[in-house]
Amino acid sequence: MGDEFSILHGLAVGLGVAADPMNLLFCLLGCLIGTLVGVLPGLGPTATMAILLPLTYTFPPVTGLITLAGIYYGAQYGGSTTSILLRLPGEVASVVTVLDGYAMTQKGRGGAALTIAAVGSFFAGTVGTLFIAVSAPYIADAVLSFGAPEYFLLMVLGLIASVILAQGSVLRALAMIMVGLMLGMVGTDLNSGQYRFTFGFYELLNGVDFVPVVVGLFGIADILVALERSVRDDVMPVVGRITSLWPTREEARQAAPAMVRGTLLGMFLGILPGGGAMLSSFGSYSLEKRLSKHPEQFGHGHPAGVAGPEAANNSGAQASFLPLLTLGIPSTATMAVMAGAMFIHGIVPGPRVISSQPALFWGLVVSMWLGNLMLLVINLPLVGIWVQMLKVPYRLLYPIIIVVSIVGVYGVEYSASAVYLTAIFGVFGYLLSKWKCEPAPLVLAFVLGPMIEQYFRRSMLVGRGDLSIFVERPISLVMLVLIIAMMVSIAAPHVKTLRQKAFAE
Amino acid sequence: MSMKIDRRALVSGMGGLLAASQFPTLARADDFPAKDFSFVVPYAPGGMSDTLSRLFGDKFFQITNRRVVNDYRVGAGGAIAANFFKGVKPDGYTALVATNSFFAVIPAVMKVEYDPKTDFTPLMALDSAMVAAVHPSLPVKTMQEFIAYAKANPNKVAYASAGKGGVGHMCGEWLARKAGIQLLHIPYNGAPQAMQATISNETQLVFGPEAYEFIVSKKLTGLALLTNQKRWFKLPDLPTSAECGLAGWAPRSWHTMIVLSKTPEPVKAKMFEIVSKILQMPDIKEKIATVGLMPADEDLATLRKRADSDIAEYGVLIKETGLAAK
Amino acid sequence: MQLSAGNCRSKFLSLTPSLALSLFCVGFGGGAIWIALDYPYGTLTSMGPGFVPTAVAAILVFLGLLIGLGFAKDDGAAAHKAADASTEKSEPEARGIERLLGTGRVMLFILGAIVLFGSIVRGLGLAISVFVLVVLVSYARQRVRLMPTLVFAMAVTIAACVLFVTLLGLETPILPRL
Repeated sequence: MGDEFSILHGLAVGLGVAADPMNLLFCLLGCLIGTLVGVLPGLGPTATMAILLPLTYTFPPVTGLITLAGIYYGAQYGGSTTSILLRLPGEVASVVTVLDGYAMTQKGRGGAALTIAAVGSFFAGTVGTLFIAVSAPYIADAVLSFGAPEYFLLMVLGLIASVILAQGSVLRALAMIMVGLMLGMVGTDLNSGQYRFTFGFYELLNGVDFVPVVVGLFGIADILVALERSVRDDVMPVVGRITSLWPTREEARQAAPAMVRGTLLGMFLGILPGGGAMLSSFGSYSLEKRLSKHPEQFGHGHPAGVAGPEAANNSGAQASFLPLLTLGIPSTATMAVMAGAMFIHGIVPGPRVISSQPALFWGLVVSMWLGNLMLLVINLPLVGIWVQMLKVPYRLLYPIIIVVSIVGVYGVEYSASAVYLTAIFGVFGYLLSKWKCEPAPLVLAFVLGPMIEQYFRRSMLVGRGDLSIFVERPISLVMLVLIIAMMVSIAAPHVKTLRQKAFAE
Repeated sequence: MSMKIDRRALVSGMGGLLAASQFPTLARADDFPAKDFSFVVPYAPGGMSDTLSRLFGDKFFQITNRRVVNDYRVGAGGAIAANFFKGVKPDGYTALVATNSFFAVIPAVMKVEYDPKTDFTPLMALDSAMVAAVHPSLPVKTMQEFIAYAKANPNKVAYASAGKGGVGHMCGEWLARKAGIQLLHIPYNGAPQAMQATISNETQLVFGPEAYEFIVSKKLTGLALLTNQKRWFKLPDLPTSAECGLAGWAPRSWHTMIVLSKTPEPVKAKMFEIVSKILQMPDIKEKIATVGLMPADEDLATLRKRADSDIAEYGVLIKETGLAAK
Repeated sequence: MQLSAGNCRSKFLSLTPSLALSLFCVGFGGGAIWIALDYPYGTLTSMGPGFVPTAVAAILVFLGLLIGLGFAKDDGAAAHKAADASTEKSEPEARGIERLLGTGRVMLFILGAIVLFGSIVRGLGLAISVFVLVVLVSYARQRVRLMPTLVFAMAVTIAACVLFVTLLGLETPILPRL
């Protein structure tokens, strides 16, 4: 009872703070900037927040944090736009949205996909915010029951999920996963300090950056393929047409349950500070594809393939505030920038934020919900404007895409080598399309690979070299069983066909 | 007799010549600064270096009416920025926003193009509080008890660091050697992750200023502040390592601003004066305290000695742990 | 003679994606194993930095061999709708050399422009770099007219500078530093 009261009281305090006209204005401003950088491939919310951080020095702390948070979740909304319309993701999360979102655009349902993404994000944002409000005081200790073995198995689950989301040949998808894992190993080995596959380049000591890989494999590669074809056929590609902006009843029916499941999954993964949030969108995609009676429709414009990941992504984004606000542990690079911002404003993120800074904590929570509402209101009418992008002739569109992507890639760390890498991955993506391979599993393996290796080797250190650490811990044991079950269910049909083939010969 | 004098005169004359040829444009400090500054930032926007660079940039503008442009040279743990900085014009208009790693660790663990002893001059020192803290489930309350416990339970205590070769790792190695105990090192991917591991008892020991919040909220037990200087004003009850019987130099981490050693002395002095003036400003003092840093208030000669002693002491640790550049 | 050579080449490039992929996997994996020979291997419970790279690369080589032996064809030939947009539908007859030239032109202008941008942006500033980038990538397609391209490039340059520097606060100079 007392708790409920204090949460309601907290929300009331928060509403008072968030509804302050100044805070409302900056929340809106943050959301607008966030939407903008979300739409732009390359320059993501992390870089933008870092760049704009000094502007907030002069604000009161709450206002500064509200603005930055607005950029963060605004980018979650905007991120889906170019993925859906132009097959141009800027972050891990949107890589998955590409699969069915772009397929919907090709079917003329791009507007509907954008609407589904916006509504799904809003639903997830609302539930996610409520979740933060209710569970923040209790969540801290639960989070700590996840150690290295659990994270290792979680990442393995994620890797298996990336096989599920592959559409064509499983063999090709596996090959792409291995290539992704290899790319992830470039850089300095965490445990030994050994430089691996750096070829003497200083720029590679910290590994290959994520943004050049994604922008190259998707954005630049696509342009190369499209232009090559246009040179050959002597016609400029037509980007797409749009029928209705609203989802049909059938589409809405398919999207709704996916949205709910995605929201819950995203929340669970988002609270794990060891890198759960980034699993949320493709975890949700794999879940939907697995649960669906028509998994073969995924990749061909299934609304659940947009609604689930978008919702999971946004609720994961909201939930990832929890480890920061309750433990002082930033779970993502973006949250690390938030932590930096809090420091600058004299607030030390950690277990004492809720009790020592109630106005700040609750103000931030309520502003998140208000921000999500603003974003829904901003984004629904914007759908109509965004789809106009498809009417821009391709000969004008592709140079714009290149400029925005490349300047964005450069702007993340002002690094010329990131620009060169983008070109290299552009060529590689072009080759992959020639070889009929999909880049999505590669990208996911690239992100997960280093974590899988690190968490495994750390588990071995923690367990003093004893593999039984994976079965001795209850959570880890359950996950292990889950993984084995999944692997069997994926492998079974293939083993069967292989055996039939072998017998036939 | 006269020979002797002549030789002395000759030597001093040559010294003067040498100095003159080294500084062909003997800059006069009253002209300085005559144009905008550029700060080389070795780590990504949003981090501590970036933050300090911006804080100081604002104040530089207030004092000198010259702007500061940030020049980001991110990568290789700072080596890219350091190598670039070695090649800039030694006129004092370019400074490197750095840490003591640029003196003691980076040149020892990787191949770089500069000599930290002769090329780089530190203009300030903002010490990070390297607090040693353990998980409260360990039956220890003090550093002495901890050492006894670790001796009785060899290889049972694991410590978390933010990465191999980082200050946290060095602290662990130093403590193990100094106290004659066995500690298992588990590297993490950043300081927050190392803290997380220790509050969840995956590891038992951790070092760093971030421990402060967790000590105050009783999720960790503070053992000592690793230093042979003064206690930390934020945790006045926490003894220093020297007070705990671990006398002498202790691994430390400090933020600094570096100019090239070839910069004309008057310009160096002027830069030092500006930086010192900024460090006295009340709002800067407050911000620096919030982020857990302690200004050391040392003059140029003392700062040089501080850098050199770090180069020597870290050098030994790095060599003994097999981290030195192959 | 020449024609048939071009034909062969075009066949190699477009008709055997499985073989090309297989070669890539074996080459990439093999190269990685070779490089990783220098890294300490360790054991499963006490891995060195060479363990995982070698294992993953070995699997990649194995997969590459399977793909090369035609195992990927069965489930791979029919599927793959999503990437359809980026794969050829019908291969026009012959004209292999012309096709290669077309591809070469696209690669040269797009990639060359990007690399050039990377190498000049710090020195020449954002405005000139973006302008050059737009003009060059525009020439990747055929029948480009100079004047409209220059006007378009000018517009994109102004928009990019306003967007990135004024609006988003990127700390990069617009004009060359003097």
